[in-house]
Amino acid sequence: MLTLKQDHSELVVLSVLAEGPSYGYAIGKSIASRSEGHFKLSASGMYPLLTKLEKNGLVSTSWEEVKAATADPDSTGRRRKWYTLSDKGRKQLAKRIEHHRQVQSILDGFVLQIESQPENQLENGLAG
Amino acid sequence: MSKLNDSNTKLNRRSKRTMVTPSNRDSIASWLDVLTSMLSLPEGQREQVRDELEDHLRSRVDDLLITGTPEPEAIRIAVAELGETAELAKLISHAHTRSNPRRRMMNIALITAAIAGLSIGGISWNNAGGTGLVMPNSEGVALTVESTERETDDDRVQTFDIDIENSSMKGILAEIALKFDRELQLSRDARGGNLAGYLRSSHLSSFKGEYTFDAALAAFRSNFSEEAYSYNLIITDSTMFIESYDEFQRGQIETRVHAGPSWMRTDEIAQYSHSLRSLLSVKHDLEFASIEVIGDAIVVAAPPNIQIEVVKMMHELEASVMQRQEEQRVLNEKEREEARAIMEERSQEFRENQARLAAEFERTVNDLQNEFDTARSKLLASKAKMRMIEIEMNRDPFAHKKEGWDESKERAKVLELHSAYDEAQLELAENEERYNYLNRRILDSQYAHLFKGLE
Repeated sequence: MLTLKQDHSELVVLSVLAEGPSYGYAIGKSIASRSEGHFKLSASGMYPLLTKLEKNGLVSTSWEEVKAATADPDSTGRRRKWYTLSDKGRKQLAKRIEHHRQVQSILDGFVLQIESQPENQLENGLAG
Repeated sequence: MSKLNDSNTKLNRRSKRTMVTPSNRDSIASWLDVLTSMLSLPEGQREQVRDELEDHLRSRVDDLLITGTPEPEAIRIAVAELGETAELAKLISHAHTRSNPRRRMMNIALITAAIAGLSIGGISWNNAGGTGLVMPNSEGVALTVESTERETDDDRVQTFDIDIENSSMKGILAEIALKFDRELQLSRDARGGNLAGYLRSSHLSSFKGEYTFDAALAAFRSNFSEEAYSYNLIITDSTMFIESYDEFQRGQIETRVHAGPSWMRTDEIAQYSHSLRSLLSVKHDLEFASIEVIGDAIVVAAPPNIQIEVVKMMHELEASVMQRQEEQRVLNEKEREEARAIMEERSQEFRENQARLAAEFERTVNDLQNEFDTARSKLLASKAKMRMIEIEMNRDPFAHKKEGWDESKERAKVLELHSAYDEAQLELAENEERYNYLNRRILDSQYAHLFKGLE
């Protein structure tokens, strides 16, 4: 499992929210399931990031009252904070995607160059 | 005392929210209490963070319960997954204060730095480690800033030319504060110059060139590490506050009262708290912690990380004792059940035995009674026979010398009577003996039966 770096986690969280409003725990589950368990965003990565996105106006938030299925119907339940991608957030996501592709293509320039070298040379290089 | 009441009211209010068992409520609520107390945020924001994390924890616990994890284990896993409490509280507080829109207008900037063909993108000011992405004074670095929005003040580079060897912590901090528009606040220890190494840096690294705020802080910390110099530096949007580690720790201390475990006798609680202390001392420096027993309550004065450890340990101990008691209860129940079955079986055997003995006894007594009745009749018959012979013998054989009286015949008759009398006497003695014997037997049997019944 890979722990997401801050830079990547913003891209990943914005992408998850682009599909529709969600809340902290569900975003974490969504990241794990969409990456087939390869990515994990810890609570200490997730909640400060969501706070930052909210402060920067990239997401808007709202509260909902939820109850456990087994809860007493008269109890007040707990509060859930929902995050919705704002227009500004969408623009930011577009920028991040573009940036990601740029970085990817630059990195590919390095990697593909090495991959095109004769095999034995590459192996020797790695062994050395 | 008023603080205690407040926190109890808070717990009670929260307990109405969801249907949970008391232990479940206690451990999640306790953890949230500790985390909330560590957030350096206004009350309203603290409540929101608490609610959001409570939702996270309970959602996770619900998921784990569905997979069949027992509730206490599910809570333990959910809390553990959130990571180190103090670290989480620090990061959340940091995110709230550092990205304050009041100071930081539109701080979204994409910085693409092409370093020898490498492109690195990112946002620099929210990096808690203080390693900004803007590289000062790196030759051959082309910085491309793609931003339609204003850079923040903290991301703007400022020129420093500090002679570390002849500078104090206070002097360097004052310069950073001045350049990045913050007020430097000093704690009592810092004002009194009580910080270790407060006056001089002992080892030197460069502090010259252009630095962003984070890079400047990183340079400061590389000369005066928090661990080595025992201080705590708190940065907000408008201030820089430095205090000694002692002050920081003492400022963190809070007092919590725990009821002694329900399963423990009052006189054992002191030993229990002593054990808690020993266990805690393995991992924590207990210089700033105190655990005392007052009545049957355990009072803990300690920083939040130790408090949470105490709560965790007490809950785990409670859970393990409860489990043990439950196992013991099941075992006892089983043993009682087995003992009941054995008793039942034995009493069944006993009853059957009794019935058999009773029947045997009745038979024996009946036989004896019959025999006795026969003996009694025989005895009576012998007595009657003797009586007859006695009457016959008492008659004077010579008183009625009637016609045809034959003396020799009469004598023979008397002899015959005597012989019959002897025989009858013998028979009477035998019958009498038999009668007495049977009588004794019947009495013995009845006594034996009576005593057996009494046993």
